[in-house]
Amino acid sequence: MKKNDYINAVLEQVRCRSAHEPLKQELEAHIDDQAEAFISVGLPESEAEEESVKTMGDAVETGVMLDREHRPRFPLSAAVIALLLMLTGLTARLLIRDSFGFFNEKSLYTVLSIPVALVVMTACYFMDYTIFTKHPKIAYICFFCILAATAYLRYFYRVFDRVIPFYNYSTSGRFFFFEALLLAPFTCGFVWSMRGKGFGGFVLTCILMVVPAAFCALLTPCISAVILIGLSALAIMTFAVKNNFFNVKKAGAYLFMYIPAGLSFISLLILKFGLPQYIMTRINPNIRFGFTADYDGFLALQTIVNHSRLFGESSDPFYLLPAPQSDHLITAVTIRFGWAAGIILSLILISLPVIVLVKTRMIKNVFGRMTSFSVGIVFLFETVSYILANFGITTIIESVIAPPFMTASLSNVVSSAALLGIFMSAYRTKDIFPERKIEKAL
Amino acid sequence: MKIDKSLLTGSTGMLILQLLDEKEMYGYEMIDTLEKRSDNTFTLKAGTLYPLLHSLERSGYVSSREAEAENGRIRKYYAITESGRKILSEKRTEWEVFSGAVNMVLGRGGAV
Repeated sequence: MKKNDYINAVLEQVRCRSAHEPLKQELEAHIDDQAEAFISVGLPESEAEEESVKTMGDAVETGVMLDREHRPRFPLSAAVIALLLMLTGLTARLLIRDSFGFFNEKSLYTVLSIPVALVVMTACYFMDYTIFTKHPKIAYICFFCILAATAYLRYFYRVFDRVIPFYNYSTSGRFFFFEALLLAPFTCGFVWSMRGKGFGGFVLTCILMVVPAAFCALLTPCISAVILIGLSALAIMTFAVKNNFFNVKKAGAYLFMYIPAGLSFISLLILKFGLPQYIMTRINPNIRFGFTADYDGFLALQTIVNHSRLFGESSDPFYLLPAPQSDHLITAVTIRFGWAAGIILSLILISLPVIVLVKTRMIKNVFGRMTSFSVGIVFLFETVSYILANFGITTIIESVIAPPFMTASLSNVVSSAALLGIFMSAYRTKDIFPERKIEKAL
Repeated sequence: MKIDKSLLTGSTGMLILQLLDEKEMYGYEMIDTLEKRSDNTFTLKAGTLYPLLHSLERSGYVSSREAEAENGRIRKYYAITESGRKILSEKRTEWEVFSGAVNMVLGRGGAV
């Protein structure tokens, strides 16, 4: 039997197509090594290959055993939590409906978002996540331009209001555009393409990473959104430096990234607390920190949260809650059912980023790990900031960003589903090393 | 002397981990070393080795990396991990108890 015939016979048994290339390379290298050993003891070159194949064992048996090891992996726990979050969000809204007296047209989006999210998540799961390494620079720039164009259309021309029924988000202010969450995997592809480019490449990448956060700061002057975009870029760059992508000194690189990032954060706080109102107004009349992120809102939330019971409904004035159906769902549930229910809801929420980050460590491929890590960081920030804001802890310094899945926003649910699907795609082939395949694509 | 292959079943993983505990190796090198060290008693087929290696890797007992050899061939090198060392130590103890018990039954003295 010839080498290729043997390898093909093995691979015919392996159902996971992504595993074929690395398996082929490994078996091929083994047969070549064995053939070389036979030649060195005097076997003619013409016979060496066939003799080597004979030492490999039964092709079908080997293929069946390899198939068992390379079955596509499915992160069931993450998928179940995502579904649970969507159903919990919907149920919580239905249950608090009587207390708060409304379940409006937007709720249609909440119901509609569940099947749409499942379709998007499944499509992304079956998509090869290494697609983000194909023409990564052009893809990153194009996606950013599309994002900017849709944001402008939404905010300045209110196109979405006219086209989508019941869509009136932009009339009450400039909210965070959740499609921007999908920037994370594109950023990973871009950073991956800059590997080995040295200090110059590192600095250029850092500068380019700032652009989306700065754009977000100008368009959606909401501190949480800026932090979310900036933090995910910072996390991806930290991963890249830690894994020696740029061949630069790690300590220096961390300082180069973290000092400006820290100063930017401090500047935002100074803008919020340190300057008199009239100076702030002169600097930028658009700067705002979300409609709940003011002192009155903070005090109201603190009062509500402090007066809630462990079990059962609180007697506090719930009408003070600005958005019980979306921005303060945990607070609303805490008022209606008590602290215990609020804490359970928070635990379900936090379990999603925890599962994603824990499972990320099991992914062998560096690019897969980086992409999954970025998804985990995005989910973690959204979730932690939402929980803290709902318990009145951070409301004073930042506006509320809805958590993944458990929200009334269709764009958030679909973006979160796409992100989770991308993580699941990387996890599906977690034991496979398609590095050289990725290299070829660059 | 021909050895019943079933005697080896269950111990192959331990032998592979032992080899990797000494140094990082690629597949062919493992088969070759095992054969030489056991005086041709353990002749492992590649078709048995690779599924086993991939299983050990999935369990986190070994890790792997690709590297270019001197002849330009890309080889996958395997190395033992910390949890691999831990399981190897457990397997060694298990083996000592087992072989000691077999020896006692065969009337060749006490446990090792």
